[in-house]
Amino acid sequence: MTRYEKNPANYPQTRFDLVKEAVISGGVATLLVVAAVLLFGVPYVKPLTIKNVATTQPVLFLRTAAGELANTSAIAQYGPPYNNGTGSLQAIGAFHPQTLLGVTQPINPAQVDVLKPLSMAAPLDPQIKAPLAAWHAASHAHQQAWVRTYLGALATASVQGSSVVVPQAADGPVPAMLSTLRKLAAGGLMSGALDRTAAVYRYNVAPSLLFLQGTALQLMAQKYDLLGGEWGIMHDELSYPGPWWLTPYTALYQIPPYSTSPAGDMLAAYTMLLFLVLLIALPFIPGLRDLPRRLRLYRVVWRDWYRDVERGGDPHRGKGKRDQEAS
Amino acid sequence: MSSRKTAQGNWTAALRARLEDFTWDSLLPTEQPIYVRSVVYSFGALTLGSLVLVVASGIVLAANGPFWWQTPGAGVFVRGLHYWGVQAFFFFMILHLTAQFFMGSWRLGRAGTWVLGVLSFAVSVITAFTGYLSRGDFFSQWNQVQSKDAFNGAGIGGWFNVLNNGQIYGLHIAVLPAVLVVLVTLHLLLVRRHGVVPPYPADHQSDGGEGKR
Ligand code: HEM
Repeated sequence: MTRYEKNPANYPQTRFDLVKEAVISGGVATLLVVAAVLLFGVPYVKPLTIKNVATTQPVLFLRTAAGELANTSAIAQYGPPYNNGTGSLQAIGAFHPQTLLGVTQPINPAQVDVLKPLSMAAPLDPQIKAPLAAWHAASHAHQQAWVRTYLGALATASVQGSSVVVPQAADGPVPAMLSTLRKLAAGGLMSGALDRTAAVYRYNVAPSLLFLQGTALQLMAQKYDLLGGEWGIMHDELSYPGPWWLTPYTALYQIPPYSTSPAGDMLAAYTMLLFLVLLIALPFIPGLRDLPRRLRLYRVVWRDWYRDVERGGDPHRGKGKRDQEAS
Repeated sequence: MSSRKTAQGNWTAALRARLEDFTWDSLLPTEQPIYVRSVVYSFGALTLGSLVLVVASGIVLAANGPFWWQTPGAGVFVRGLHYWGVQAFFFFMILHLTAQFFMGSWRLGRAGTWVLGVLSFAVSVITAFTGYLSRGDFFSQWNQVQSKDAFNGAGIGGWFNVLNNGQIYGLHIAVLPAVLVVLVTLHLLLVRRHGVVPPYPADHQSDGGEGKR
């Protein structure tokens, strides 16, 4: 029985050229990547714009805007970090980390998505001033009733050319407001109005994206099979590999409780954190750390070595160079 | 204060002694133990090679800006290099991780190398994800609105605002790559410090236990 040697330097050595190794692997990686670009190109799908929605799906645009105006949309009810709602608050009992940092990105959809853009448009279209004033003068209950009535009428609206004909109803200033908003959007001015901040360098697209996120983006995502239940974002991008390295994460969304719980996102995030901790701690977990030894797949990697050792003889006959120098 | 400042020296001296472990010969070895004889030993180098390509193409992209890489021509080609470089990077990294697992490469004092590897993997995933958000096409928009719920639910959305292109882009091109490069550098230094892990004991070898873990 031979002794097991733990120091790599005490094993017989062979010549090794790191620079050659680096050049070869860098070269192989570069060749593969350049070939992939030339063969397959790279995925790109034109972004969705509010202008596009306003012109190609006008009824959808009006319905979305009405929901924001009444503050009944998903974002208006969302919860932290946008507001104090509970609509999208993820919690298991009293555990809801979502509330931890509080409302750090406050958004009032009625203000941001409808009222502010309209007041910005007022100098261009003074006729909007009267409906706006009527809206502001009305009670909250009255405003809500107008929007509800408007949404009912919108259900039977018809599109004629570039205009939407909404049946007459007791919906006060809402039709005038929203049709002006749609003109603003169709002209391409709305996202700029939404993402306007006090600072003049503007990077935060939350307002415009949150306006689109409700239905318009969902519909477009459906077209590309990108919904969560369809393996979501990693499903694929056209026929390209998406972020496939998120597979373990997106796989969670295909099974309960992640696929069914309203706190599914939170559960999935913490499950992944647990996986990560397990992977980090693997060398220290009895049982798991012995797995590779039991699986014996290492014998494939080191097959030449075991062949030599098991053929007999002392594999350590030639001592390592460093070792010799030291002695 | 006193007990640390012994004749052995203080922490700066200890650090210097550690750094002196690294010589040009240990950083650029001219020989390797004979058991280093398999294609799996190239996976780490291929991961590194892809990473270099990703960083280099990323620098060109950042220098020219978002409009350039969304306009057909050279910009789209360089974006292709970056995109496929990332695919190669993850492909080789997962091969590397899998191989190191089956070789039990954390044995004999190499747990730190493994831990730094896993951390590199985790940071790579976040870096790549912020990259998807920064592309500027429909997929970015969709991933932004979809993932916000995940980050919000997990409790970090209040700081990590995926809808803020400035924050996400800054993290993607500067902060996260810097962290990744530090992690990878430490990973590689540890690999060199310990030398390549020896094979598990052969069936007839006694090892006193430790080599098995
Ligand atoms: C950015 C990503 C990474 C890079 C660039 C990288 C690079 C390398 C390189 C060049 C080596 C030496 C050659 C080799 O054995 O392949 C190595 C060794 C190693 N890597 Fe990584 N690696 C990365 C990620 C990982 C990950 C995710 C893990 C595992 C979770 C890992 C675990 C290891 C271990 C344990 C060794 C030591 C092998 C030994 O001592 O024999 N690495 N890495």
